[in-house]
Amino acid sequence: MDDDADRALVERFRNGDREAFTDLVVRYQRPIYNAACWVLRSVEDAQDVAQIVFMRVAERLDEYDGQHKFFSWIYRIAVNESLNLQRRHGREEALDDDVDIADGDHANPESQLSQAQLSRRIRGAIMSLSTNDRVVLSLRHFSECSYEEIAQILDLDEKTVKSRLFEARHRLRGLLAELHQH
Amino acid sequence: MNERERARLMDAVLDGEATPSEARELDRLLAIDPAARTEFEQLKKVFDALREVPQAFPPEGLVAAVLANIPQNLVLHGTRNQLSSRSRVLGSVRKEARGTSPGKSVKGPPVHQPGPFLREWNMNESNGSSRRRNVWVGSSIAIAAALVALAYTIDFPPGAQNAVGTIVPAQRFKAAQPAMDDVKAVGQSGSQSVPLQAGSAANAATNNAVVSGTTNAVTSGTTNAVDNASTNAVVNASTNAVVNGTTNAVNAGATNAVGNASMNAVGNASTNAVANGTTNAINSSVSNASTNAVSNSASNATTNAINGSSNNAVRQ
Repeated sequence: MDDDADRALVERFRNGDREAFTDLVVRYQRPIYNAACWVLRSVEDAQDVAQIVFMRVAERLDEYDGQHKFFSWIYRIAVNESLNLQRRHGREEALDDDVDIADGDHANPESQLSQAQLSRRIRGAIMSLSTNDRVVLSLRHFSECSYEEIAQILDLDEKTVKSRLFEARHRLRGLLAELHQH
Repeated sequence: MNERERARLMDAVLDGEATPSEARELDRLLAIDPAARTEFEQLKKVFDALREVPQAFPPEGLVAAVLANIPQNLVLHGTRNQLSSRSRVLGSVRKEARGTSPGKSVKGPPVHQPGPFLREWNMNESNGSSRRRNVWVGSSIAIAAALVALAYTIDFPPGAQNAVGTIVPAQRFKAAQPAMDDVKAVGQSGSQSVPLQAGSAANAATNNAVVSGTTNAVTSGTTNAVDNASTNAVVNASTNAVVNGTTNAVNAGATNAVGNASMNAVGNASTNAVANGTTNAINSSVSNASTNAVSNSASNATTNAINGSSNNAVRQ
């Protein structure tokens, strides 16, 4: 995301331009919706959270510190709102999606898989991971956040972020290897 | 460098977060270690595959739903930490409830209220005070309505004096019909009015007068009763409806002055107008029918008796 453009929209909205807020919603609806999807594993819940996030943004935009990136700020709201909703539902460890197990060449399975099959398999494997793993993996790989940005969003230090990412990938690779063997 | 450190180094390079020295170190390692190269290639495939995982599209109505739930009068003050009281409360509660990590947040009940659009939340913000106020207003309206109804019930009993000039079609045909005993022809009341003379015209006149008077009285009484009842019913019903409706509307409007004057006035006016109009019309119809029947029958009987007597006298 273009942070300068974000700041300009924020400033316009602070000055009463509601169109600027509409632009922010349009810009961020997809990444926020996806971030919530990865955490909640539910399309409907993600939709709810996306609406909540933008409501919070509208209500609390004065709290946004322009020294930081706007997308880090809104992502932090999105992750926290998703986790809050997940706690309320009490289904943190529930699995909505079945992992897709595709048949393939065990000697070189990935070479036999189409990109779509591989994507489905990875997506299924990620969905079977814990919430912490899904959060860091989705922020890094799908939202393309840096370590520093992930640390800001999750209120962690960068070392912890690196460690969590490493552990999450390790488990993901193990899970994919298990799938290959079946 | 052990296996774990090597894997972390590979992660950092593939994430684009490695320092130049770290990148050079990995290059050296991959150049001398075929197993490390294989591992790196496998890890790179995972990264590439992750990059290709398609992201979902939000539902089409999401933007519209979001914008629809943003208050039109939302005002940002341009100064940090000067949001509305509601937002400040929410913000502070969220900060307190937030853990140091996503998985270690503070346990307990939901820490804040989401927006009014959330499926699972009831965002009715009415408090006890407003509910109590509504109860009082409702009670006042009910009491006022009961008093108005009672007042009109007392003011308009089915009595004769108040029923003059009022009627109703529904019971006009049930009005008491003048019977033979009720009709008092002049000649029938006694010998003083019309002295009887045997074999004379007076006798015939008297007989005719009685018969004609009775017949005419019944017929005319009934006819007049029906006619008067119909006319009075229509006129009085309309008049009473308007008068009572207006009166009740004003009374109800004044009583329910707490913002509901208009609605109650219209409602009470219609209801009372219909109810009172119908009641009064029924009462008046019965009374007028009876009164007119008796009055007309007596009058017609007298007239017919005289006419019949005169005719008979002339013929004889």
